[in-house]
Amino acid sequence: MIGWPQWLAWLCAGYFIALHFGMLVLFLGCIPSLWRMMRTHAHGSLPQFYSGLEPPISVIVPASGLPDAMVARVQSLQHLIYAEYELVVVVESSAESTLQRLVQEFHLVPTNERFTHPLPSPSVRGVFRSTVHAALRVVEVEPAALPSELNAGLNHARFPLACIVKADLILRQDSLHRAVEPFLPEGSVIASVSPIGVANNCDLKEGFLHQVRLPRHPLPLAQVVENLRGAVFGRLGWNTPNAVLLTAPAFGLLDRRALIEIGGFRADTQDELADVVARLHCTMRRRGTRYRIVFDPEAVVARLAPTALFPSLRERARWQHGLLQSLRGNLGLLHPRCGVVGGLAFPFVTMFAGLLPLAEVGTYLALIMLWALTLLDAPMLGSVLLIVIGLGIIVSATAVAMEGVVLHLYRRPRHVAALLVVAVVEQFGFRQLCAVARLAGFVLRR
Amino acid sequence: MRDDGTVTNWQYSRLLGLVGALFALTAVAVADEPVAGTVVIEAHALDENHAFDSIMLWLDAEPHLGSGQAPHRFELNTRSLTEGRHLIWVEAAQRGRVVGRSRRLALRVQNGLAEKPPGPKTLRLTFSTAELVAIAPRPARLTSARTPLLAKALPLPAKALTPGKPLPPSKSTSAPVAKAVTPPAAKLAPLVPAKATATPSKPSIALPAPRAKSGRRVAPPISPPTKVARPAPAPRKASAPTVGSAAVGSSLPQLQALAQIALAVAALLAGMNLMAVLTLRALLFVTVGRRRQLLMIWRPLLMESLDDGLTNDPTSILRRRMAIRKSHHGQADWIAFLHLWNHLHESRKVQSKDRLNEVAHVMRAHQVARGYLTSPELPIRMLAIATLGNMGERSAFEDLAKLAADPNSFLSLAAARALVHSDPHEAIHTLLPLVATRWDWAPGKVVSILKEAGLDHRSGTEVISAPLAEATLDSARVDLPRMVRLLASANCDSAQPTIWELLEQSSADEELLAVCLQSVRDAKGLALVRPYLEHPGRQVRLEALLALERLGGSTEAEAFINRLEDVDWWVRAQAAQAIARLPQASSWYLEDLRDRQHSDEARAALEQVLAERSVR
Repeated sequence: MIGWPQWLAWLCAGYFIALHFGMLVLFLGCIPSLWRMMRTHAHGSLPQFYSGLEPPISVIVPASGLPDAMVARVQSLQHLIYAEYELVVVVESSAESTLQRLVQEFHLVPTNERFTHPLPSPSVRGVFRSTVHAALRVVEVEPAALPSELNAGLNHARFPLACIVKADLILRQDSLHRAVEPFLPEGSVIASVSPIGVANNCDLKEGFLHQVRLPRHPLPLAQVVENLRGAVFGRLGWNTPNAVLLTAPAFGLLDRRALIEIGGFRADTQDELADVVARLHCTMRRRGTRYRIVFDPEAVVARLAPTALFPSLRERARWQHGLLQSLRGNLGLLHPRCGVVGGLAFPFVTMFAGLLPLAEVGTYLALIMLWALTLLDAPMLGSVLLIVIGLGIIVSATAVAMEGVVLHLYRRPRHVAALLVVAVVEQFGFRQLCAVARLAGFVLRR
Repeated sequence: MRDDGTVTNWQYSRLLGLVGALFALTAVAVADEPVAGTVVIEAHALDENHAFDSIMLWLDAEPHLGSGQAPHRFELNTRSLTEGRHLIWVEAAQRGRVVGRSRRLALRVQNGLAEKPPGPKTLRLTFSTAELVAIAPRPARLTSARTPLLAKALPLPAKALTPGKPLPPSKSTSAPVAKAVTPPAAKLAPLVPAKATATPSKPSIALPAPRAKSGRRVAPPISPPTKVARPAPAPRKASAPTVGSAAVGSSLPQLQALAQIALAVAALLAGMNLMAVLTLRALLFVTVGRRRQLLMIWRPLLMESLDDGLTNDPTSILRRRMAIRKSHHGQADWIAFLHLWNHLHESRKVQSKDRLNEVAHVMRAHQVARGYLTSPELPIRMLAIATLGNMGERSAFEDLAKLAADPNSFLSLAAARALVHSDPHEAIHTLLPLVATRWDWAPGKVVSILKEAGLDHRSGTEVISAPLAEATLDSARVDLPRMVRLLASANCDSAQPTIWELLEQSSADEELLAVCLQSVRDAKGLALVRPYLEHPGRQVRLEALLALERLGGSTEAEAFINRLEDVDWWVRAQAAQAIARLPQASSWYLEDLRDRQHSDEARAALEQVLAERSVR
């Protein structure tokens, strides 16, 4: 018979074994999706001849930041390479200076176009069309939470697909073209989500991501590894059973009709896209509707990761808060009709993403206390730490190696080597620090 | 208490005051069992899976008596103990190594009471040997130098452990480790097992003095404390004993094994992942390499045919074609070839396209493409559709028409375009019924595809003009607004007359009327638009107002002014805006007009316009 400290050690070890084995099995599950992607790209290396027939897209842009920055952003978005798209900029009425700058810069005039408002949104004070840019529309709304403002943008969108481009996202010029690819083969795809890359040290050209380079600062580097481990290959494995759930911010292209069916974005959510994806699964599965939500591992957008420690940790706390909100708000996924999503993906995400900070911090604290009280001896402690850290290194290193072979975003061997080093080093301190920061997500209000 | 005589965890913890109560509770099986007189203590193993060859009874952290054979019973004369609390437990050992330990039992000796407590006469201590107990060597911080208040265990004197020799009396005072200390004479009496059946074959712990006839060992006289040497304890596995467990075991070997297995399996899974992706990469590398080689052959050949026509011997082309078909990678080769052919086709002028078509026909590429129309992969089907469209292959019209009705909008639009290329007139008549009902087809796309039909050579008008107008008029009511928008977007000759015709019909459908009014672009339709200013529908009146402004301009000023009295505020606002955009609408003009209005709403609409103007 063993004592309770040893039982605790076993429990901690068991949790992390289950977590990391689950991740590795998911990595294996990525193989079919990766093969399809690689073949498509091989075809894509040859000349395209049927472009121009892709479905049109409404790009919803919530206005934020300085007026000049907003103007520059809209100007940049008008140069996206895509057959047909429109820009719907949503401006709060309190941001008068932004609206005035937009009106001035893009020759906006009030329009009397009639739109139905199927989604709950704040009051619309005015809709403006540009007399020089036919695809630009500006919607002025009463101040409200961001998800409600996005609903207002969706209410004024005309096209069957919609995506949200927030202020911190940096697009490629062909982002829409790449994001729409999963919709083309099948008519049942209602959402396509992709991870958000790290734009630090990348080349930008006219506001677009031009050349991807490996970040130099250690914090964005760690973010890259974290993305590869959790946000890319950790999600891609759920593609095959059509059970993709989001655990971190992502970029999504959504079927507008499906979005309206589920009531659009919820006002009280931090991570709108994660909540929408979960609700789409829940609604479609319960109705028995044939659908697919596809995860595309290639990042079509990127953002600048913080290079200071505190903002980086605060960001993680917010992400954790968003994840917990979307999990709490979608317990309906546990319904029997929700299949793999509710029976496997949702519990997995809850256990190994939602509760992971608690488990990590609790494990380290418990082990240290038990060892300090000599209730657990050094070899036991070492065994548990070996499991926790060793498996973490294996999983991270595998993700980095798979990226180097398949995605080829960071092509040079020294880049891959640098990422491998980070994958090892981050397990000794940084990952633990992030876990502590994510704990704050349990108590954050917004 | 450890074998080397240093203090135990729970004692240390109590000293530190950290979790003393918790440890105390877990350490003591029965709290303060009142005893008096002589008490029999029985030691029982919970399982017999592991052997042990001796039992040691400990009293107050000191070993007292050993027993080498079952039943393991000891008699404790509590009169030799001080009044108060004492702790006892038993340890089982195998070849000098502790393999089991019982929970600690607290006794409250109350011999001094006038009325003796009715305590138990027999105490049962159980232990388990399921797991080996490993006791770690004490760290230096817990030595007597740092914990002077704590009692130290004494190593058993070697002499006392030999058969026939009495054990040294227990003591309660502290002493340095490994020094034998004789306890105060008045405290303890040596113990004797109640029954001893035979001399043990392998005594690791010596029995006490031989038994007297009564089976009880005679208590030796109390002598002053003497130093008694104890044999060194058997080496034990290093481990922190868990507090309070009945028989504390360690799962370290299992955990270490688990760690090793987990890491090995994880490394195996990771290796499988990497092998899989490396294999995919290698396969892709081979495929891409072969494709590159094929393009290196065909690109110059096709470029040559563009410039000089089909100068190459068709036989040689066919031979190359056969080589493609027979190759192991037949489909991949054809796909690469068709990609190249279509790319050149879409980037060339008409004359060059004819030459490319000639090559494709010699190659019988249309037969291959028709076969690919049913491929499960969308890119291959798209390639086939594009090839047949670019070749203008009439024989594939029926297949393409079926694909134009496919639910996949991407595929169906591509098939629609191919149809228009193969036979424009027939394609228009095939597609127009679909156009009305395919809400997933973006109007702009549809119009651009239909316009690719070009001009009718006989009439000089666009091929789609008359059929689109006819289809619009024949559309179901629900599809009419969409068709009108398409018609207006096509901007063909028949668009405006059709729209006028619909306006003349004065449909009750407000949405249709609004769309028609939005789509009026010719000033000849003004007469049809004006009556709609009085329509009961707000949106209709609004669109009529805007159409009048678009087509009539300043000639319709009176109509705008009349609309200032409209019941709907938005119509009034738009009327005021329209007036403000008139060439003659100076600020004085607007102020004068405002003053002449009878209703407050009309004045408010003009004031709004004046206010906006003043801000600019």
